Amino acid sequence: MCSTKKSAVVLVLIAAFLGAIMTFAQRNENDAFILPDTSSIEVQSNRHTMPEPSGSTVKNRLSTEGYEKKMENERLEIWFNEKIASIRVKDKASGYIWGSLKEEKPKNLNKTWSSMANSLCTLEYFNQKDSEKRISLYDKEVKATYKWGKNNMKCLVDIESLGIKIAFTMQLKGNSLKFSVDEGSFEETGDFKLKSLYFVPFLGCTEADEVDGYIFVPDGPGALIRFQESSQYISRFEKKIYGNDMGIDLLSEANDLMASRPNDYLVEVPQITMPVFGLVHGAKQNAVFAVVEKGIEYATIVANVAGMVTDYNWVTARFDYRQMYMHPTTKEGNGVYKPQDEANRINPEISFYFLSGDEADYSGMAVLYRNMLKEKGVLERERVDRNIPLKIDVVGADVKKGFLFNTLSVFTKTDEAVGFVDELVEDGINNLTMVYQGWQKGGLNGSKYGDLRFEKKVGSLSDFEKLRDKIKAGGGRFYLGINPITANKDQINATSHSATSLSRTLVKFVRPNTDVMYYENYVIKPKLAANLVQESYKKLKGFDLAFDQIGYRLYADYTRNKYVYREQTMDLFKQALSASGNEKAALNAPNEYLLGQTGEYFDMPTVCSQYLFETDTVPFLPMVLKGSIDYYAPYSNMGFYSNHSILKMIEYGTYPSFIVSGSESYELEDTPLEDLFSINFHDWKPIIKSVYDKVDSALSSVEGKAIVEHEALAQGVAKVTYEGGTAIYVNYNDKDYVAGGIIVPALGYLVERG
Amino acid sequence: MVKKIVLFLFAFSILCSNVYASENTTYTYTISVDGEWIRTQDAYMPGSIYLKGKGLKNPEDLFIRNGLIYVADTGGGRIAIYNPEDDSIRFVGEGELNSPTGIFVTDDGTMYIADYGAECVTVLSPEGNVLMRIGRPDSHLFSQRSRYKPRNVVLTSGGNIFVVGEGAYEGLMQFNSKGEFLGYFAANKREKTLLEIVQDIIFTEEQKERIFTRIPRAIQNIDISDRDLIYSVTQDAGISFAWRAAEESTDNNVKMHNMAGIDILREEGTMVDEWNFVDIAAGPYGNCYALTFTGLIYEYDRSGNLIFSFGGRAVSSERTGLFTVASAIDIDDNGFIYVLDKERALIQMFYPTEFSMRTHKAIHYLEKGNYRESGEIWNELLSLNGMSRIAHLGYGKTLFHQQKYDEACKHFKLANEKTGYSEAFWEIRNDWINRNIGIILMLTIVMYVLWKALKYMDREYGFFEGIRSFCRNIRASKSIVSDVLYLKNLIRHPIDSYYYLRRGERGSLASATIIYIMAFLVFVWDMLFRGFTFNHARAEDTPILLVAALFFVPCALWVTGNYMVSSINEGEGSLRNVYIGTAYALAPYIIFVPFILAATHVLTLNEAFIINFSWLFFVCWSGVILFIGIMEIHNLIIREAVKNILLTLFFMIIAVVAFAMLYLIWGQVANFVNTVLGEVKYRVLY
Repeated sequence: MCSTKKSAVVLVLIAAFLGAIMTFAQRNENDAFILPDTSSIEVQSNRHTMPEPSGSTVKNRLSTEGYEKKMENERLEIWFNEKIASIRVKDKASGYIWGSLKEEKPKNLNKTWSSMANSLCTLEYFNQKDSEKRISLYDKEVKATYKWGKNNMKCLVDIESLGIKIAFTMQLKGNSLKFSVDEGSFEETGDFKLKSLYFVPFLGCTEADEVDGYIFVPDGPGALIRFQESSQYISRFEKKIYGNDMGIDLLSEANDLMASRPNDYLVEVPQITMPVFGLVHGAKQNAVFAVVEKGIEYATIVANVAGMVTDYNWVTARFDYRQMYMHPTTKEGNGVYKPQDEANRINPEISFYFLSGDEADYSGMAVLYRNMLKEKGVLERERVDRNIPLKIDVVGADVKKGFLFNTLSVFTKTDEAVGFVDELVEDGINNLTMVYQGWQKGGLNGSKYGDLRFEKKVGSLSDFEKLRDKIKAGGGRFYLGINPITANKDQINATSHSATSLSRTLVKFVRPNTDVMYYENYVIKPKLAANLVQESYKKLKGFDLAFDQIGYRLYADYTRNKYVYREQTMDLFKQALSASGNEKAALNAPNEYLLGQTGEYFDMPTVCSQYLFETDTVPFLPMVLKGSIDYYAPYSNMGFYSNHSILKMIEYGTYPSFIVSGSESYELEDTPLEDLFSINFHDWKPIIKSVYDKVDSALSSVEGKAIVEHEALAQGVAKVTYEGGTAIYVNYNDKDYVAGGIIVPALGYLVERG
Repeated sequence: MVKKIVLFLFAFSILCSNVYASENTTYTYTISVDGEWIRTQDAYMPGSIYLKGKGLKNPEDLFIRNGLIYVADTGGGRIAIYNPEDDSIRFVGEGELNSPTGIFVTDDGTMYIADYGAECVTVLSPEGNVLMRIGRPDSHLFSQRSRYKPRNVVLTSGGNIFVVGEGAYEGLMQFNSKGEFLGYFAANKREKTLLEIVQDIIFTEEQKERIFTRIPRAIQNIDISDRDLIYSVTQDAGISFAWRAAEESTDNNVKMHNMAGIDILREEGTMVDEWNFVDIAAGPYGNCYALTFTGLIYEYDRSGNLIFSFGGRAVSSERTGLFTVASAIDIDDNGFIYVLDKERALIQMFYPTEFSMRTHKAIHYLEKGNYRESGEIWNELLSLNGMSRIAHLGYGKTLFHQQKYDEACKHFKLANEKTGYSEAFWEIRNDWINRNIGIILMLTIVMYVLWKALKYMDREYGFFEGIRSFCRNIRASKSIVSDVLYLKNLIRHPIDSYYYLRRGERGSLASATIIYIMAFLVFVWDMLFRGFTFNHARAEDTPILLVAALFFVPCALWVTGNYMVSSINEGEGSLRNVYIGTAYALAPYIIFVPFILAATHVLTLNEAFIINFSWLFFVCWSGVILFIGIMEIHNLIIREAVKNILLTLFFMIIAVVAFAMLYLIWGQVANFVNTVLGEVKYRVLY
């Protein structure tokens, strides 16, 4: 009896054991978790540079028939047809003829469009009813008188019917043709208001995909719009250089998901920080590179793709004398749209550089532009380190939503930060760039605007000095982070601190997400912001400073009787930042006019806006800056730590950056930092080390060197050549790249020393 | 849970700071530990774009099988078979189809097409020959009044055909493989709204018949998983009037049906979903994806927890990953997501990032019972996003199964998961009791002996005489303290006590005020600081003013209302009497409820009944005392007291309604005046 029971138990046990094994075996089969190959899809996206189509040379499509040669130098010939006010430019080096339309009026364009396309200059104006009209030199109402010199042409434009007069000069110099409005020549006498002005807007235009080539726009790091078959799009590429003017542009876009989820779903598009654009007809064959020289603050880069209104691809800079704005009539913000009364103080000037051969692509344009900036003295040679720098943003303290009152949450004390430094040094990372955020009394979003005292709970002055000295002794840099541009309602008195828009409202950013603690952020008056910058230099002597937003925000302030115009803000910021003396500030994605004041460049954009018509992202901006200013990637915490992102850092010559704190991530709940979802130093330390090591081993060999060429060898394979001949190959594919005697490992890179 | 906000205005989104850069065009969201939406790492990246310039017209559905993309070209009346490998396209069904809106393809390439325009389901061979048509069923099971407008179709592995019809509120139409109608499946439920309950009471039968179209909402779209589970999405009307919204909020909009058609995905009303889902797709890991027409994609796990939400709408600019009008979603074998944009006739593809693949792996292991490995991945994910609810929940579950109850408790609490917390807490408590049972017993005995001893000493030697006389003095004196302490008399002798209160011998305005404040403190405790398992709301999220308003406004309305009603009718009490009398009625609430509230910290959901019942008991007791109080104060008989109370309640409702109306009108007037002034200013100044 007893034994049968026992044997039954044993049997059951054996059965259970076998069952367990079988389920385990089965489980292992089920558990096979196959990771699909995603890289072949990623590299086809417009976040990467596509290889150039191999093959044909682009032949001349235009002729100089009906045109008369007016000017000539060793590089270019300028031909002109006075009847249609149109030019042809012949590049003597290649024989390529640049111009706009093949004929006076092609079948697929109407009269207005073809006269604009042909004319040297086109004006847009508002009539008495405030509606937009367009007029070109070709139009009958326009009286244009041309005066040709040896190297220049002066043109006086008189439109009697509109009461508008303007004069401009076209100047030939080397391989460039410069257009500029003569100072003081613009007159308005009638009821008509000048809206905007274009110089040769259709120069180099192409019909659909008749030519292998592309439009280059400085969208983010740079973007290409390859010529494609006509296709319908909702909107064209249209971006103000140096970003929107919050003083006049509507800051919001109707975006309703009609869902319980907040509407702040869009990743912000990068803005244009450099006043350039270009057109390529056959890579490494023919190209035009345009640089807006004056009137940049009021210029907009407009790129049109075939299928968008016309069947032509064209790109131009539009100089705006006026724009529409919302004139409010009710408190809720309803109102009427009307043009600005006063014209912007602007003297448009734009140069077109005609390139051929090896120079004639985005990479050649970048090199050309870097040299121009160097000549201007804006770019100097960067500090050369043995190892690349690593940027660590440390969050000191911030406010936390409380039961009755908001409280202060301390995330990282200075001695914890000292610990971070020790740990990183232990990992072999000496070259640190540390930015301390939220060091001010009250914390990052709780400190009063302009209060430059240290938050005692984070650390005292001497604690911060100790931290600074420690980092500097190791060869690093230490910055205190300050945001002079925006503040929330608890930090300022909105009515006295905030800038006013032309629509008579306080300028503020509103995030369409009321779950966020401070979803409204006011924009500070430019004068106050500039004052704060100067003040901080005085009060925080001995510390380097990192200013948030001031680098890329450019706006007018229409506070009653105290107008500060966009170009004045530019000067204010520039002057304030120059007050630093030797040590330059660190800025986030600064506009070009501040590059001379930029010690280090944070938040380098790594991807274009990804409009459907954009086909490639190219590293134009990195190519201009590499070797002159150290630039860092966006925080890797937010997803930028994958293999792809590391490879992109290597391709773009970008240094890694992280944001960390000493406390657990969930402690960020109920603070304005909720968006940073993961910043615990110890969670991130292994990732920091691995990302740094990978990027360092590739980029340390080219420290201080400029990029001379960037090209896509194949889908997902890029070659970046540096001064001195060192080349870095990056392979985003999950297969090795083998060609021309080199092997670039899958999802890896190869450094070929010169 | 996530607050449901129904927007009927255009909200505005801002092109703001670019600090939180991502290579994506939209942010990925998940649910945070406090139940709100929170951003997280990119889960899916927009990949390739297909069908650009292929000339499709308003396509409404796509289906992926064996590497081919089948698109129902609704406007073109045909099916497009697209091969993304070589960008080639082939059309079938031209002339045979009218406006196909849904398609299902079997492994051998046979196409089942819901033709909305032709009102039939057409079966095409891989070459495009018609194999079968299923027209309007003439079965007696199919009502004459029912509509037959097929919108989409799926096929089970057994060959049964399920058809979604427009407006088919009876449910999915089920056919066998020969096309014979078998009946309806998985109809949505319909619950009464507050409005309808009122209508039921007031309206006559005739009226009801004329105006009521009380039908449940029809299923919008379906998909079927490899394991023959049918997923469905339903749209609700998105009505925003609170008292009608009940209709929309009770039912989940995403369902997973078992063989009986019953939703087994998630408990009703606990789902994070949207009213405007248009399509659903079953994923490879037991997950599913629902799509709104605004281009949002929601991914759910097998229990209906939201994992990720991403995508969005293209309004003024077209960037990859955004949609003008999204109409269909499907998943391929790799787990890549394909979304069809009806307006632009494009397909955009999303591929999963490393982050989401890891999440899937953790979910997969958790469901397979592989807790250790799953736990490791969850822990990793938590270091990537420390505020993700799903990660805390997943990690908590793995810890629970590994019997690490303390840590499990911590994560369940962070994830606001009461059931899990309660279970883990039960284990901890059980363990604690087991370990300390000896000490507890000892302590109880010692206490008992001590108590007896003290009592004995007191009896023999008058040990506590001093204290007793002190208490007596306080009670006897007519100080505020004694008035407040008089509360306890209300428990034992409510009628007598009210007599003294009314006569003014006991109680004062000051003491009543103190009692209100005490009651308010208990109320705050009750509302915000119960033990986690029983807590209603988190203190951080709840404005104290709201809690104060919830308490004091009804009190004030009651007191004034009752006084006014009584002075018109036959009440005798003064305002002072009502004020004091109401305060003292709160006695059981103030005295007993704190014990319950303390108990919430040590009890688990198993004992929830005790908490709920005793709480209700003491609240009702307070109500009874209040009733007695009204009778005593105004000197009423029971019938009159009932009338008095009902009138007072009526007054309270009217007061609230009147205030709301005044508020609305005031807003309108102010707006009107402002508009006129603004217009005048504009005309004069410019």
